[in-house]
Amino acid sequence: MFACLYAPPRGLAFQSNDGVPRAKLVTNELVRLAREQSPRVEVHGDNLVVLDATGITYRVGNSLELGATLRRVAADRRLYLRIAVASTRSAALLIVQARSGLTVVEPGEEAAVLASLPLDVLRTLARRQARGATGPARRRVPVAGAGLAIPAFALLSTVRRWGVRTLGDLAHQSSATLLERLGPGGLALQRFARGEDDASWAESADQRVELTLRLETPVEGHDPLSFVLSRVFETLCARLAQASAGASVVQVRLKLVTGEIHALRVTLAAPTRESKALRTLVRRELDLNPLRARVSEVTVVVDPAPTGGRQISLLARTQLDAARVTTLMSRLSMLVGEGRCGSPALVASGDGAGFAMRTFPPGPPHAEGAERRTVGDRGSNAVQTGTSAGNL
Amino acid sequence: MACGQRPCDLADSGHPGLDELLGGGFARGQLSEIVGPRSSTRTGVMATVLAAATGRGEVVALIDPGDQFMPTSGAAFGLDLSRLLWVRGEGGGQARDVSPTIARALTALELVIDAGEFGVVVLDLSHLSVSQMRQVPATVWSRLFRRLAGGKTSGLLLGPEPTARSAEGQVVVLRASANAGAGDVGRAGPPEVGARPAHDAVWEIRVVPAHRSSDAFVTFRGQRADA
Repeated sequence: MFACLYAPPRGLAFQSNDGVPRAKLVTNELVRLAREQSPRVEVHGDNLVVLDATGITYRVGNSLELGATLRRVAADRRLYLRIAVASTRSAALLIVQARSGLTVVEPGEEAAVLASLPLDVLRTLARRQARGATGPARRRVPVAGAGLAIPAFALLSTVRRWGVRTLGDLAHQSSATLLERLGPGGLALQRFARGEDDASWAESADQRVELTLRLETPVEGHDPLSFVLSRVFETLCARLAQASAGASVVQVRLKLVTGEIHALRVTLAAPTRESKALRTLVRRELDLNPLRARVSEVTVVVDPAPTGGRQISLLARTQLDAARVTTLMSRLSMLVGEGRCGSPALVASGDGAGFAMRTFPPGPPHAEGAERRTVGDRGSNAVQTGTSAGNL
Repeated sequence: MACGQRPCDLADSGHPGLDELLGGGFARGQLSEIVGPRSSTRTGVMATVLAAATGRGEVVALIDPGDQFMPTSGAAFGLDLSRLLWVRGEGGGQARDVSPTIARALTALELVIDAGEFGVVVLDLSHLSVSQMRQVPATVWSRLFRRLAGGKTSGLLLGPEPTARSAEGQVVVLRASANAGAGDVGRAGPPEVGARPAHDAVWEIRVVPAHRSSDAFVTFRGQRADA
């Protein structure tokens, strides 16, 4: 169950004691409000926040109760919000663009509610997400950006030319047609219009684990730096262990003696808190992006995410070791190219031979690379869309 | 039987008749081969083996430098695609010098084996010719044997002819079927998506296990041995 909170610009009655509007702080206030209900909060732009209440209904009640609570708490704080509660994040995000007040959608009714919304809500949401990601106020907000993105404006203009006016029209289009005409972006657009979630959750920044190490003597070369990183990761992983979490994204900022910042970012296929694996992945990134000067300061920021521990059960399938698989996938990607390794997933297409490459182990799709391969297609003759070239 | 009569060290192939010939299945910790000419249903046998492994809850990997695997065909064999790691190349079988292709494929295979999480790992070199396969130095295969040894991963190599079986591994030799192309389950794929091609397939198989050999080809139709 997801709840989306949106404070329309006109409704920004949130003011400081001296009466000065402080619109920039509204997002922070929304995050605080949302976090009172759930620890999982995601920011999608200025004044647009989603909270995930999955699994905590014993605490927040059902969708109606959650919506009523949010509305009451918001009113107490003089926040006049649009609130949408739905079983998927996409549905909540879209509904809140079009409906004022409180909207609660019962599970299974998302498609029916979304069907009547105009196609413009997609454009509106895309614009808000884009503005939220780049605006000056966004940078001051201490929360992480969300991973959800609409494959944007050009696609919407195209489907509008087909006579598609509502989300329902888009949802009922043939997937094969969308794939053929718009590529994988078209399918993503349709999933979004149907209210289906396919992006991973971005944790808020105040849950991040961060460590900075100033080096008395600047280090040169990857091996000494790797030694320093291993110390940093051991400390960070100990903190993650205390929180029963693993690293989902690792950002490394290396301050060089020249004053430059050498930044690296590693996104893991599955959360892990194995310091060796994290160090290996960062080392691989370093090999790809070598340092140009000695390093005087190391900062590592880790976005935590719940870890799915290995299931030890006679009845359940054994789960993969996340650290090993993440390292393996990273190395394979380096060897054959992004999008050339993963799990194939069948996609509806006209000839029934379409597939898309997804992350391994299975999870949210990455870099939607949908393809269609017909019987007789071999190697480079395959119809390919949006995949990077491999070189195995 | 390979592996000293220890059924736990065998990965069953998913085909009762083939399992019988193999003595229970493909040996784990060994490199076995599925070989035969084009259109001899090598890929069909491979998909059956992978489907059986995913059916047991294992994860499997396919190193496919020729980028020949068709997910729809795999799914038609009952392969759980979500438990398949597919490492794709971009062909290259037509190139004169395939050494880089093979080298990268072998590196990928070694990485997958080292991860140690996979029940069955397949290296599909069936797009290469016999002469191209012979370019691979024997030491490369020896290195693979050592990596596989002692593990729970069953290594399979698809190729045109026997090249690299390890000591306890088996070789499945396939002969081009007379009706290949019609009921063939190999590269031609199933006649229609969603069909169960294994039931229509005709496989002519000769198995060379570790400690015995059979010269006679045995014909299977579907899931049952006809001869």
